Amino acid sequence: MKNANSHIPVDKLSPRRLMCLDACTRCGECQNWCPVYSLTENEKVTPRAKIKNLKAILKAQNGFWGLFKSEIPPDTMSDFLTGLYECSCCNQCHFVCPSRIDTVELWENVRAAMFISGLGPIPEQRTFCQNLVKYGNPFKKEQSARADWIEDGLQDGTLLQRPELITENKASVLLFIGCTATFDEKVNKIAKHTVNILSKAGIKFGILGTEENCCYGKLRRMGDPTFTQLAQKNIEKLNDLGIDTLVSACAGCFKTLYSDYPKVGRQKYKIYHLSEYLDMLIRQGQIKFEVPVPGQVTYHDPCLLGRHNNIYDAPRHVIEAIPGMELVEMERVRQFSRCCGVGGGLKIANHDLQEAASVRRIKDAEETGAEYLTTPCPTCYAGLLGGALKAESQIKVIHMAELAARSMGINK
Amino acid sequence: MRWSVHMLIFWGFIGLISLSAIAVALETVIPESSETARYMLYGEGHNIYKLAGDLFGLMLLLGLAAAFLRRFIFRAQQLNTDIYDTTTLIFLILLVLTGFILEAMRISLSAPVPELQYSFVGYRLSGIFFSEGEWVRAAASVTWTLHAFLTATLLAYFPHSKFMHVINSPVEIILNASEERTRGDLYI
Ligand code: SF4
Ligand code: SF4
Repeated sequence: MKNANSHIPVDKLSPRRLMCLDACTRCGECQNWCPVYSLTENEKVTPRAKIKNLKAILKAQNGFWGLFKSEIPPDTMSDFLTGLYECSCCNQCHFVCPSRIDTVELWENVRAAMFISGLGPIPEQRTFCQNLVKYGNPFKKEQSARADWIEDGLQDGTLLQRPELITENKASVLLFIGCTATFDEKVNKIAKHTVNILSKAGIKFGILGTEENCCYGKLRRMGDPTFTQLAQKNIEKLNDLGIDTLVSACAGCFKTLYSDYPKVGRQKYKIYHLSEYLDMLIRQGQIKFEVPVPGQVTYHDPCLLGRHNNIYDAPRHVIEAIPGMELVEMERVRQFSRCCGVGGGLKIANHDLQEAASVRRIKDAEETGAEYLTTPCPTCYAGLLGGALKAESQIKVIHMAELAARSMGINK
Repeated sequence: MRWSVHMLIFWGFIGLISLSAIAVALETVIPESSETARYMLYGEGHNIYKLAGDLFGLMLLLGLAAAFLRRFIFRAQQLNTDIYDTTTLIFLILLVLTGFILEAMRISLSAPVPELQYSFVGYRLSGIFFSEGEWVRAAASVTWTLHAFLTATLLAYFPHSKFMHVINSPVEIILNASEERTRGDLYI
């Protein structure tokens, strides 16, 4: 990282975001709700402090007094960096801010400017971005390894049948697996369950297999400008498939494809998160949950699905459609759901903090007395799984696809 | 509590600004001979105007006093007061106080007519200044100058201060609501 006096290029900040800086009334409501602040009581991470520090830096670099004294106190810059990157971009602050500041848009815009200037992100995140661009996935695996989960699943019987490649069957529905469900061995059963569900429902779909690329959402989250050109390539490739529907079982990929790609280019297909797609299939009678899964379950709203994309009801409908299953809500749900800490690059910036956030969410879940904790996102699932382990919790963390598969009688 | 404080300051301000706008309109665009001007300058309108002025001023003062107590005496946990917050608060308190003192001095210098009682705060305060005619006249000039100076400084300070939220926050709320409507995810 460069020194504290490198410039944040103000021309890379949109006027819309610069305007927000003066909309902050310093009321501190965000501090009451920020999941990271609640763990550390470190004021730097609160939007109020971030905005104040950013204003101070921009004024010193661009304001009238900056002509005479443009040095920024080193504390201000380092506090700002900590606050900016030890933030899970969960969007909770936006929902409680009386001025309705679009905080995460602001953080991401500033992160992009910081990336260009070399002031950010923190070294671990920069290396992560470089590896992501180099390997095309965050797991530093070869592209050919994208089919490994299929072979494993067929071998151990967790995959009912080999999913067809969309480039061969020319189906109109693409199941976009995503890197986490592809490469993370603790998580790749989600890919298998999803394929099993769609196969059993008789959906004509295909996957990209070794042709699938990362959605590159993490680059956007951390401000790497390479995102735009890689997203553009992905859009062209996906458009060329001639599909009309894309289904993603990951809240992160969904957010990137659904909310970030439209700023880059036009996509000629509809994008659904798996929970929406399942909800639709259930209503159309194409999916029938016949096997009871008895017990109480509580649901964790992934930030990127809920607060970022307003999808709260579809996953709850899916759970409620499972016979025997009773949904019990945690105290903080929907717009106020407590973040599990995995998003926004926090896991890379400060792993302990991310784990503490997941542990905290596990405690929320335990308070409901439910036997299961479910979520429809592989990344939240992995984070919560780690949190449950750390907290030595008895609660069973289960991805929504696994619940659905069980109730369809296709789970081993 | 904090919303009551904000509401007192907000409505106090809006009220005083509206009254100032009426005064400017009476000075500039409304003909002196018109029915409205006569009602506002010499009729019942004048008394209501004075009453409203004191009422809004008092609301503002109460709000500011409560804000002061929250920040410096009770130190509400979520508040984090920096020099800019303090400057803003002191500015406003001085502005309202000089406003009331000025009004009290003016009342003490004018002929005692019952209508003065409509300025219920200024009227009560004016008792302090009754005895000292000449001294009060000089002090009134100083206070007027101070009040005018504070007002002008406030206007100059406005764009550099947290007062900007008066403009930017509502604009942000409106823009955000329209963006959310466009994206189809408008929430309550
Ligand atoms: S809630 Fe909004 S206005 Fe209040 S301090 Fe936080 S960012 Fe600023
Ligand atoms: S986005 Fe979430 S973690 Fe980041 S400052 Fe806002 S509330 Fe805190």
